[in-house]
Amino acid sequence: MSEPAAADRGTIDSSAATGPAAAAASSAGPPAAPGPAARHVRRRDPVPLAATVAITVLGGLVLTALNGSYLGLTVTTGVAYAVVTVGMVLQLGYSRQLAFSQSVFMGVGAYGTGVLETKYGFSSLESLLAVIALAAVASLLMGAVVTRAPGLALALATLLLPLFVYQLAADSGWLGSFSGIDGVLPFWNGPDYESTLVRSGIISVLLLGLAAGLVLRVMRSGVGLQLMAMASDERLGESIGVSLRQRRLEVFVLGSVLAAVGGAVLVSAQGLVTPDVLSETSEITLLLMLFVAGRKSVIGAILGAIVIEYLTTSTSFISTNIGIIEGIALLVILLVEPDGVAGAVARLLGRRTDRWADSLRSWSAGRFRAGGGGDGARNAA
Amino acid sequence: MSEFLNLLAAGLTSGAIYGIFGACLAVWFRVCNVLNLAVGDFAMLGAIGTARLVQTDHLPFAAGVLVVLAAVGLIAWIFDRIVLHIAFDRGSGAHGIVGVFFYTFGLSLILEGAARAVFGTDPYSAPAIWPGPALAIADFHVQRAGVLVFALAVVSGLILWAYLRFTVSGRAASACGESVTGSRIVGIDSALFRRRIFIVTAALAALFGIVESPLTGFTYLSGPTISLIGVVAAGFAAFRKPGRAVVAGLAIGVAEAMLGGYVSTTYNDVLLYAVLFGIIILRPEVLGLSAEPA
Amino acid sequence: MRETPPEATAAGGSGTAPGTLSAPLVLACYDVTKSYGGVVAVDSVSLEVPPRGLFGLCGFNGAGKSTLFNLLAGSVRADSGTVLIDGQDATGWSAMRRARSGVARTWQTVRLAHGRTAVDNVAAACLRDPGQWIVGSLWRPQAAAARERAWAALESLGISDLGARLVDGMTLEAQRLTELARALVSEPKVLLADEPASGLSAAQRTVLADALTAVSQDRAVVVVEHDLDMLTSVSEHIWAMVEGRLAYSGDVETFRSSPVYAGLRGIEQA
Repeated sequence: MSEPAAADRGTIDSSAATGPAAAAASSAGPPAAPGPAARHVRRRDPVPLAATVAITVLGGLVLTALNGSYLGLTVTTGVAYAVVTVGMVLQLGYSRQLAFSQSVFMGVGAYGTGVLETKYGFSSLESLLAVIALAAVASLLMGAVVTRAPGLALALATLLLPLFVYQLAADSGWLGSFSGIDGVLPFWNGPDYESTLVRSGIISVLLLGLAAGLVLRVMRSGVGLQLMAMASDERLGESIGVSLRQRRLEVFVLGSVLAAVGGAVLVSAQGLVTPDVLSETSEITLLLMLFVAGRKSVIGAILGAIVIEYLTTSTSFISTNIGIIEGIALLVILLVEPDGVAGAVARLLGRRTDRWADSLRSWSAGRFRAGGGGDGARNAA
Repeated sequence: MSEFLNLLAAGLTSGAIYGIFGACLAVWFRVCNVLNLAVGDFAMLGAIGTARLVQTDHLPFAAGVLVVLAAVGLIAWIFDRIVLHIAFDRGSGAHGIVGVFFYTFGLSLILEGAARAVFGTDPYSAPAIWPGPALAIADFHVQRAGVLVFALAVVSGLILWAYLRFTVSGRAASACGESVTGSRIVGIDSALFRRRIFIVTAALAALFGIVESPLTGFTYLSGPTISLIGVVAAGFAAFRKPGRAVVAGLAIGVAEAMLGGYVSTTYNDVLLYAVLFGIIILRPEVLGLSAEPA
Repeated sequence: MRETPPEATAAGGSGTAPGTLSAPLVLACYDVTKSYGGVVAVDSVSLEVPPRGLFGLCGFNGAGKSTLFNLLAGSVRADSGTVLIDGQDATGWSAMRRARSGVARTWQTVRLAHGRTAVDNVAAACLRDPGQWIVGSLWRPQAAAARERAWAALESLGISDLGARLVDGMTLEAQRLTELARALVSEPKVLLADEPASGLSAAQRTVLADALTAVSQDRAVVVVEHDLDMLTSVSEHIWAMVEGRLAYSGDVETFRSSPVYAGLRGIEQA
């Protein structure tokens, strides 16, 4: 299993015999002879589907318990951001494509949903599908041009994007100028406000589960291995037959489409969309949710989004000083644990040497972490 | 004709800020391969700090300026000694393209948050250094502060260019950015250069904030947008050449003013950003890039 | 994975220059030149690689060997000249296309993806369908099959017990063997190995030499190496570069008595 913390610091982890292979080996009793049986690679990977189910069920239970309260709305908003950050795990964390365009595509999803539903009478499902298609096409066109640029140019150019798209939205009467568009439909109506929130929340959580499953599936696939090689060293990627152009474009499109879905979720939860969703502040918030929680970890990205969204709206001390807190948190993370809280947790758990900690970690790592691997010699049973 | 000249004057004024920020960014990037995204926030601190000290606390202007510049220098020193030292000298932090942006981005967040907590959300203007009405030559009007900003930008740009080009110290500084190991081997203390240039460019940005704020006023949020344009201006100078960055900044400022005057006042920024976006994406060679930084 | 080419005549034994038989060449370059600034790194070099066998490339540091490999593998474009892969003009092909056409390489400084296991590093190189669309990975992930092939490759080089280890914690020898496994797992037609023994002990070199010899039964292997003893003991044919030019091309015996050899040896013993 991966140890991104050690890797990013360029240190050599001398206790390198980690991961499910070693864990399974140590928990299997007497050392298994390294014959073909121990090398059997499990054909089906249950993790992505398990993640989708777990997130949907768990999220559904939590939202039902919160029963349409303000906290429930906060959590649902957090879920909306989580859909975006999960896409960013693939794009920024795993593939190391530094693009700052997610808030813009979140805006595409949010405004697209708002316009289609209030001006053209689309239903929630129809507007969701339409917005996905719109974001896919837009990101394909933009990506075809943008991903040709070298990394620093891509980062710089996408830094400019929120600036000018925000102005466009704020100045457009058709998009409602600064007040935006309201009257957006919730995903699933109920007899009253609370149950509508809960039901729409469940759909939102389902979408999050699907997003997480999708991203995990990609990262744990052969294409994911290619992305990993390419992110580590582009020349290396080329030399093993990876099409850099194709992968860069695909990652950009996938990240953008997920951002748009997040925008649709946000707007359906809150009932309205304003230009703030596409501002630089929004992009900054997303980046922080990703980096602080763990840029290569899907579960980290989800929890990070929900927790930070909660903190931003909670006690007044935190929300007024959120800028300073976020700045300090970012610096601490960058210096101490570039893979965020999730990386720190994985590392701390990894230091314990007893069997229980090892198998717990490989269980949680296998469930939710980015980067599969070490499939050989999994549970011998 | 006079409208053109007035727009030109306004453009050169705002362009001077972009340009000098671009130059500060380019010089520092050349030395240590990090982009100072907090440069606009240092300007903001200069402007607001001076305004506060002089107007509210009634310090004499010169004293206020000195205090503010010293404070900004101190903040820069602390940031380098703690954060950048751990990140780059001990080699333990996140590196690569993340390191280029995110350390100073974190600083920027902290500075904005602190400014908001201490100074509130109102706009501030430092007192004018050269008070008086706009200068007029026939129909051509230009603000005195604008003249000062432009002159200061040209002078600072020249000094930075000359420093890098002609002094031994300047060439040593450049060497740091090109090869960390190589420069260490010949005895150049790259950490020291990084720190000093950071402090100098921070103080310079603060000075510009002080000089420029009578024209526009600064709030705690004024920093990021000018930082970003400064980054673009530095980009057009391949993140290396302060002189070219100043020229690029001036060009951007003038383009912004012309677009505002002749095309549309509401959408001039939108068009400007769209044009810049287009140039960066379609012609990344302008940024002197062919591959990602190591 | 590529199918091994239909039975072709084996490369000539020592004494015959490659390319003179009717065997189709798997890789060839003609008059390739590459300059950097004012320095000519590779000066009008031509060579032909038959489909099987082990061939050595030597020369001083800076003679242009790595640049030549880069030109052959496609990571650098030649200023002039042509590169042929399996008879097709590959001069304009990208490194990616050449890799998919059967050119594999290892690097002078090991290039492995940090923070990942050896098996993952190797598996990344042997997808059956490397151009698969990313959405295709949802229903046909290819990972398991690729990992199985990766384990097999690691086992064939004797390092399968290290497969689940992170590459960061490995010894240099293990890393080089992992990189070799990665290059071989896609069953390339030609392997370009750039100083694969650099940094290894004498015993480790022998292991590596044996591995390369075994591998060269089925494909062409071109090895850059400074250790002339090792190189001359395993190669069927030697090329030597001096200051960007090909100073020698021929069999091993003649090489040993050539002035180029003396020059290389002389400095080596100094």
